[in-house]
Amino acid sequence: MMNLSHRATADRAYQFLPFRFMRLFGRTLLVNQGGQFLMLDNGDFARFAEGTLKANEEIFLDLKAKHFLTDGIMELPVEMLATKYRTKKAFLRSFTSLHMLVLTVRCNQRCKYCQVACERADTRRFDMQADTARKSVDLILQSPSPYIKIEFQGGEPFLNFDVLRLAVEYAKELNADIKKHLEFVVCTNLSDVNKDQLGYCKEHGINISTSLDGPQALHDLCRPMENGEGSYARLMAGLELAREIVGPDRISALMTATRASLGQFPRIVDEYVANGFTSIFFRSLNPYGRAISGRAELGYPVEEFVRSYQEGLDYIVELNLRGIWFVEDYAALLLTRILTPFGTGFVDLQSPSGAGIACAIYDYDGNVYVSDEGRMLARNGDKKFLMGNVNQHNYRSLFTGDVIRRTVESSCVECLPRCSDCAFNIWCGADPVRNYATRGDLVVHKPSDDFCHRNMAIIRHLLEKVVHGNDDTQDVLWSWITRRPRAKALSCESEGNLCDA
Amino acid sequence: MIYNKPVIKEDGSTEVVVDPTFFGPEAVLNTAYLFTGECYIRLIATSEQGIVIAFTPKRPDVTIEVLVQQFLNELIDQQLRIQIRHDTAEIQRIIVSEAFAPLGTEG
Repeated sequence: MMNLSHRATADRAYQFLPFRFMRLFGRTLLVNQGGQFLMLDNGDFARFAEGTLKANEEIFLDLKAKHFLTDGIMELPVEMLATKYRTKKAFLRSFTSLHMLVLTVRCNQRCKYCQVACERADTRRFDMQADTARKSVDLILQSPSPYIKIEFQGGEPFLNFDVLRLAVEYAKELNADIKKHLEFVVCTNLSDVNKDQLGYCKEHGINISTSLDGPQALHDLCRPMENGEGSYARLMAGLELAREIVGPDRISALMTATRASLGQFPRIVDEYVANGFTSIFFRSLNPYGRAISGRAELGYPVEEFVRSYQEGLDYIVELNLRGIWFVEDYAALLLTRILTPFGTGFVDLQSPSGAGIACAIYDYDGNVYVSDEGRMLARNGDKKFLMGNVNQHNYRSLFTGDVIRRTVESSCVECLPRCSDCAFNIWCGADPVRNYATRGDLVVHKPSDDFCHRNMAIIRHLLEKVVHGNDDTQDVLWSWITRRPRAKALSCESEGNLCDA
Repeated sequence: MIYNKPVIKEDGSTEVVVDPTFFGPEAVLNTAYLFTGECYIRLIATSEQGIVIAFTPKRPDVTIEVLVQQFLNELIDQQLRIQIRHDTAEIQRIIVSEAFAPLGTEG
């Protein structure tokens, strides 16, 4: 049990509680162990650090209320901070909940940034076999997590529809006794989907995640069909059918930003709004598969992505202020971390990384990797993140092996160079798979790391809105966190016209 | 004599010396690490002068005078971070230990 007393020193009448700080917007940002933050003028921060604040000052009371200092009993703030820290790290409690099944690496499209290097649609030897699917499901349902999401991936997973059905029905059958909260998602390009497949999704509550890069010209530029034709028209037909059969609430879309997308984010948002989506995830190009070989055509400096992201985000805020409720998902995720006591699991940005402990991927041949990106590296011959194979290993050996341990150990921002002192670290995370793919090491040189630059810039941009945004902007940001349209926006919509900002 | 005005050397590098009375090696090392994206940095400990830090820009667009000023300011922040961390280390250890204590009682 704790044995702490208030440790006022000869120099000051209060004790610091653990916090990190950073100079920001000409002031000083302080973030404590529980993720709460405070902005102080630099002079006030200097007085706080020197220990010369007086107990009757407003700043002193703010710092005390938010647990940056204590001048009394130590136990209470320490317990509060421990509870908040535990809440922030709650994503660790459940262990692996997202399990991705690669039903096939065959695909009917030839996306220029394909991370997997898909095979021809008629080469069936790249399909997951029924026995491998059953063994994968057996392992998945051994996860201690009470929440299990099975995500069907490819290639184009509908090309192996029989095994998709088998996996769904077998998982439901096993779960009848286990009684976990079980969800299914199929990641499909929707370009060749039929009524039977969508009817099955409807019947079994399978959500649909598709890809939409933007307006037709932009989408077709990087997502051609196998025969070279654009896929936009097929996607639109598939979307319409899916909305009609599965229902619009069960369909979401992802975009991938290539060089051609930069400067186009507002138009991409318009395309999403026109297609009935209420959110978007501005996703930068990932350094895997064809995105690497096509870097000269597709790639861009991180600063250019950040500029486009900021432009897109500002546009979305404006849309919301005009009464169109629309969310940028990455911002919503970060804002939840910044403005609420809660942490949010997100494989690519948590500490330790979610690779293996929050998600795992089961390839068509039964190989299990810590993440989709680990599988992508393996497609190019590097099996660094291979945990084992469903046909040879049991749950314990897969999920407690060296690969997962090494991945976790190298992704705690609390002890990584630069990250350990960064004021953003409780909101941020590490991606050791990406580090390895880009630099050949699980831990990278942070001052030249694009991942770090991107996240720092995006968090700064969000904080700028949080700290300096007016009440309406704050309302918009909170509506993203709560996932509920602003009351003002609702009233505007019900009147059938848009509000002025 | 300890000087902290930048001195341009014959090899093109710029040197600054920091006073070990105020700054420990950890603060100097942490600060130097932050600037290794823009500069090649050499650290030389001397008994007479203090810690010599030699900067060589990696790119021609890096303005060394500005960078050294930023370095010296950041050095103060780094030293303060170390002091705060030192001052709160035991509390931090207890917070983390208390935070995860319930896990130890679960099956």
